[in-house]
Amino acid sequence: MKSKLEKLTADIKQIFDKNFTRYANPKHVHHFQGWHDVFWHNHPYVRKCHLKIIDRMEDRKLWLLHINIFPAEGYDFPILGCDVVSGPNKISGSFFDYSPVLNKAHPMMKHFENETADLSWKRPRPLPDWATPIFSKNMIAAGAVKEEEVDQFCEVTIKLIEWYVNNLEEYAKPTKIDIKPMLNRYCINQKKNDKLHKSIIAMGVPEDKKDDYVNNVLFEEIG
Amino acid sequence: MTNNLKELTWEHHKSAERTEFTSVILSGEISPKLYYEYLCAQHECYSALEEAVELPAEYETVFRAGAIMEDMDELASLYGLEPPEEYESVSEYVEHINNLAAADDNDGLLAHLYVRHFGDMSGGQIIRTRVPGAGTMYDFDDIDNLKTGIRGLLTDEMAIEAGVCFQFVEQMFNELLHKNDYYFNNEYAQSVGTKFYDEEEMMDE
Repeated sequence: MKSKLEKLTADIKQIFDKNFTRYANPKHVHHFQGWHDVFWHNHPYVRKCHLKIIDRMEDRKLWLLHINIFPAEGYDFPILGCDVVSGPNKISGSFFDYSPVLNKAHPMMKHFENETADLSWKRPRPLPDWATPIFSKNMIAAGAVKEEEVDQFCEVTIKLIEWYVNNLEEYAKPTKIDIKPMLNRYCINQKKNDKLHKSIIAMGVPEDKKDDYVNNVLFEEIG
Repeated sequence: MTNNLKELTWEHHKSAERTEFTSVILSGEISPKLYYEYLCAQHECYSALEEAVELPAEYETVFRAGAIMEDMDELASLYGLEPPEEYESVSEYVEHINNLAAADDNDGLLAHLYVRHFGDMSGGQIIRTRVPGAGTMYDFDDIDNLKTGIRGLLTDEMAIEAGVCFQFVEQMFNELLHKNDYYFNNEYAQSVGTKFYDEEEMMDE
């Protein structure tokens, strides 16, 4: 299981390195055991691309992948979000979405819908209240992912990340509308996820450092 | 059902009120041509929105596209005005409304209805006394009943989309002023020494 997810992560990093530029996020000041954060941007379209891994499989039987790509101001295209929470033998939660910003019928979302229409998951995960206003109706949300479903998830994830990155120039639509409220709503709602906070605390991270990381690195709101 | 949409969109509301176009329209001296072009732009926006939004039949008397057309016809007939070329801000707005409809986002469409139609039922009642023509678009059958009924369909979650609507409105205001040299009616413009529409001069050119 872990080797498949590590291969997926390496492939994703390769795509980002090929298309984006890495930078050191000055707000990322806390470093915790097993945590690995990488940041990229891509002028003028991408404000922030963040890939995070938590590898505590040895002591806590937990491996986690988080990816977000946020559009830069002045451009309208969906936010890319991917989360995987895994134990040694199964993925307990796998999520992937192109989430709308201004245009809720954005052609990139149509592509996502087409690519995922025929996929099914044995244990689809219902979305909580904080999630429904920000994610697309076609979001992948599956629990208890094992065996061939892991391969399916990895295949569609790499395919959709590659397509997203390679098609930004064509589909990043310039807009005069201020997209900050939509980007901030995405972050505000993500922070309403109790599991996010509890899982970080459960890894022994002090409350103040957890808040600092969540508010300034993971889901930073912009003014 | 109650909501705080008014408070949540207050900054956008004040920003729209502070625009130069709003001061021109509230001056009571706006040129018939500029106001006519404003109506033409509004007609496109309202037609797209009212075509797309799903509203209980009992509230459909709030729709304005027909009344705006009446006001346009009146001014065109009185002043011999021709419809303007398409405004970019209007085309982008119509596209945005069509995208909300394509995404089955009726709440998003209701947010636009809140900004536009509640504005017409509120501040619009002052505007109607200061613009050329009969101002049919500001005639509503029962404002209190319409406001109460439609307010029941609104939620705080619509605030962000309402903010988008306000931004499109401001873009349209700016474009209207940018494409018109003469903001005020001739008599007023001459009295305050600003530019006015000189028919003879225009014919000489």
